[in-house]
Amino acid sequence: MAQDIHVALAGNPNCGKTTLFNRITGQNGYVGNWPGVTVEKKEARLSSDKSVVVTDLPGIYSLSPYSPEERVSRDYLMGGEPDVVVNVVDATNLERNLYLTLQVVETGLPVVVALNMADLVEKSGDKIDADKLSRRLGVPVVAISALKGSGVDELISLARREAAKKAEVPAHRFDSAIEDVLDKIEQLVPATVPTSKRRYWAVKLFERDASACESLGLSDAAAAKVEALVAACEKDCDDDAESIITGERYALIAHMMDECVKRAPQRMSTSEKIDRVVTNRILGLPIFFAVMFAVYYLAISTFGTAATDWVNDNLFGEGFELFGTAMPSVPDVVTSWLEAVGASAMVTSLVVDGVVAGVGAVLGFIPQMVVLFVLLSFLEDCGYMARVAFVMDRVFRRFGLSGKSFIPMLVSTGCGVPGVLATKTIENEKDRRMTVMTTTFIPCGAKLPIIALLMGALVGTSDATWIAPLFYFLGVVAVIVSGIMLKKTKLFAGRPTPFVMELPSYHFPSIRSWALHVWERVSAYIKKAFTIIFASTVVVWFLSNFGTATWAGGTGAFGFLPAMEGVPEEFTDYSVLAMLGGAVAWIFAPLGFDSWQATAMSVTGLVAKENVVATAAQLLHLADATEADPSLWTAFAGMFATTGGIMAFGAFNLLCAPCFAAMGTIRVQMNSAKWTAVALGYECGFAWVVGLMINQFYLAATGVFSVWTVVAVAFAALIVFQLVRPMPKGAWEDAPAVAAPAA
Amino acid sequence: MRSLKDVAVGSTVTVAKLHGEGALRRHLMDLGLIKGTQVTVVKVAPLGDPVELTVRGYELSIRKEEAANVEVQ
Amino acid sequence: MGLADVVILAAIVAAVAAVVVRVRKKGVCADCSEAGTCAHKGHCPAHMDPAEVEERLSRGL
Repeated sequence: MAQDIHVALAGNPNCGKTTLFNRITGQNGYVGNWPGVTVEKKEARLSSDKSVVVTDLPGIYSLSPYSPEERVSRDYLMGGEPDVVVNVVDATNLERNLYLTLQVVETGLPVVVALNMADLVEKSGDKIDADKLSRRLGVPVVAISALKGSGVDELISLARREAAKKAEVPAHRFDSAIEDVLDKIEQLVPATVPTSKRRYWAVKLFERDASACESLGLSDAAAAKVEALVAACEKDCDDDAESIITGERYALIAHMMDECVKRAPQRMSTSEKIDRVVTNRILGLPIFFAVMFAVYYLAISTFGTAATDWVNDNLFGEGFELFGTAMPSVPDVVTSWLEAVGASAMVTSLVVDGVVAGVGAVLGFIPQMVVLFVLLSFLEDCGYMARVAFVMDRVFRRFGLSGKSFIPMLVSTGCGVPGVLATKTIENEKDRRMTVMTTTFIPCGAKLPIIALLMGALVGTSDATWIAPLFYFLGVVAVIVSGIMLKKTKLFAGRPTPFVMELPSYHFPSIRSWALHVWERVSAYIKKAFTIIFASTVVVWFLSNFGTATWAGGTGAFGFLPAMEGVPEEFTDYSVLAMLGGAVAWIFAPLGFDSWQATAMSVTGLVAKENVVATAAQLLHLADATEADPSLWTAFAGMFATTGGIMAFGAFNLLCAPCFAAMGTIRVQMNSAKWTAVALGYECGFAWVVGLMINQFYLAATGVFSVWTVVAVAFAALIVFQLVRPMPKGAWEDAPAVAAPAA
Repeated sequence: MRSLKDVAVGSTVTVAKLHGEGALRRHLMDLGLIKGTQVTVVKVAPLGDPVELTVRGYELSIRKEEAANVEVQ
Repeated sequence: MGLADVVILAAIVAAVAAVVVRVRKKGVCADCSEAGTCAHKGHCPAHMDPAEVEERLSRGL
């Protein structure tokens, strides 16, 4: 539309640009500030004025030609669409943020500087003179707090006012010697370029920015003259062009800071104090473990368990007390309704023992999920997760991956699909493949019910409240161990990749975005329950209720088992599902869970991990007609012969191939059927071996030995060997020339 | 050449020159590591790497390999 | 089988079919199965250009 005003939003990563964007456009945006989660270019109209279009550019430090984000940003800025640029500046990091500001001003567009987090600066005791800064920069400067909302209205009206100007010749000037050269170059810029833009091109030509200058179409003669000017300047300054300009910018900024900022006496910021402890050489890793331990413990073992117990045993079980009146449980209500409308026993079973049992069990874990997501979201949003990447980097370097490989894993704690996709950030193909293969070891949201279920089952047999965090760490350890082992094979050996990262300051997340994150994850879980899980329960019901009457004295006919004559109590043993499960169950014999039920659960788990729980609930429901104790936990535990079997089952399902969705994503990411097969094969194989070891060592501890004990020991030895053997020669081509000092 | 990699924790040095090339070098420059800048090595992570620095009033963490490209005095 | 049975069964079959259709259209990622209101669209790697994700991460935050 002709009257539309286009506003470009530019700024460093983590400057609060996105918070501002969401505030003024009303988008329910996700605000995250650890790797892999920050939003890139977005567009929306101002909620207060639909004729203003705001484009949120990616967070960038500079308009250099090197990264796609920077190129996208500067192409957009120079492309003619924006009428004004709102440069969001993190007032607590003014010096570095101004580096981009200068470049944005150089584009010749009208600019308004939004000094964000101004309130934090005040608190720290520093004082910024916005007016003076504005005069030095040649553009309006307004203090705002995107989080709190102050100054935003003023910002918007300033932006509109500036937009009307259409263009603004940059006011700031560098050192006179450099300005001299820039002037001469400016004269060589084609006359067709408008005045406001000429300086921008002069600087780019000086920097020898090829991608910018292609579009200029400079004649060969002119280009040669430019080159001569630049080369002469480089000689005079004994430095290269890029460094000269960078130096000039920073020098200018230093002047501005001197004039406009009064610093409070230097004290360590709270962030620094926290970091001292959290990323401490010795304490860092243990603290991380303790934090994750606490998270899982709180979520699954304490409050969460009580709530989930209530949901499973009361809401979906026996019924409950509400203000003294006995309320029926959901299955009871549904059953009586079905009876009332005259549904047959078969359909009733489908609905109650199938759908309600399965979906209900999955929904039953929501209390624990909520607690977990609340805690994890808090850690993400406050900035702690960035520190974790920092701390884990060295652990990962041990096996040649950079901390960047840890990022997909952090994403995987929610869902493995975006986790696998996040590996596309890893340039090194081998590293990427390896990360794709191992990232699904980390328990995703869907695996939590499995952990919770196991916990409940095991608590019955021992005082094991630490089981839940243990399974989380099982995943992490699996990743690390796999990484180390794989890196030593020819397939994956290679040089570790570079890693440069900034640590944002800690801040307490806004309740709004925190609640939003939690809600997102929980609602995704619920949606999944009512879609995929629901469909799976229907299928499982059919498979477990239909079968052949092959019991002693049976007719051998195929049909709906419960309705057949002379059908035994354990009719499911003759179902199609039992047949399919039984065919494969022998694989799990050494792992301690070779019942067809356990196999069936593992298989349905491939569709979606929650199905392990859903299927368990269904099968137990069908079998529990005479069961006195309806508790899901004990019934589940009863499906296994030994505690070792339970644990092995848990480990196997947590580590084996992920759900279909994630598998499909692996296929996409690997871009090769062969590698997908390798990944899935490795995951299942590894899971099987771990399950074997757990079960066999448990048995050995109780004095039961067998040939499988030997096999388990052999595998353990193999793993240990692969872990400790030295890196094969030639794995890392350029080792640093200088040995690292003992710091 | 003495690089940032060789600097002990707690000491402050001045950047003399940036080695290396292309995107990474420019990135370090964009973040403020240029000739004449004061850098304080604040911390070395658990197990030794990456290295945390204070540059122009903010924190930056880089690996020892990158630090090797920053010549200091 | 009575009328109620037929109705209920039909409803269930329809529901399962709806799920299948939805999965085909939207995929199965816990987050991406949101009906067009994916809150993660901006930053979920599923929707981002690989090069941009890569560059952003290699340059830090």
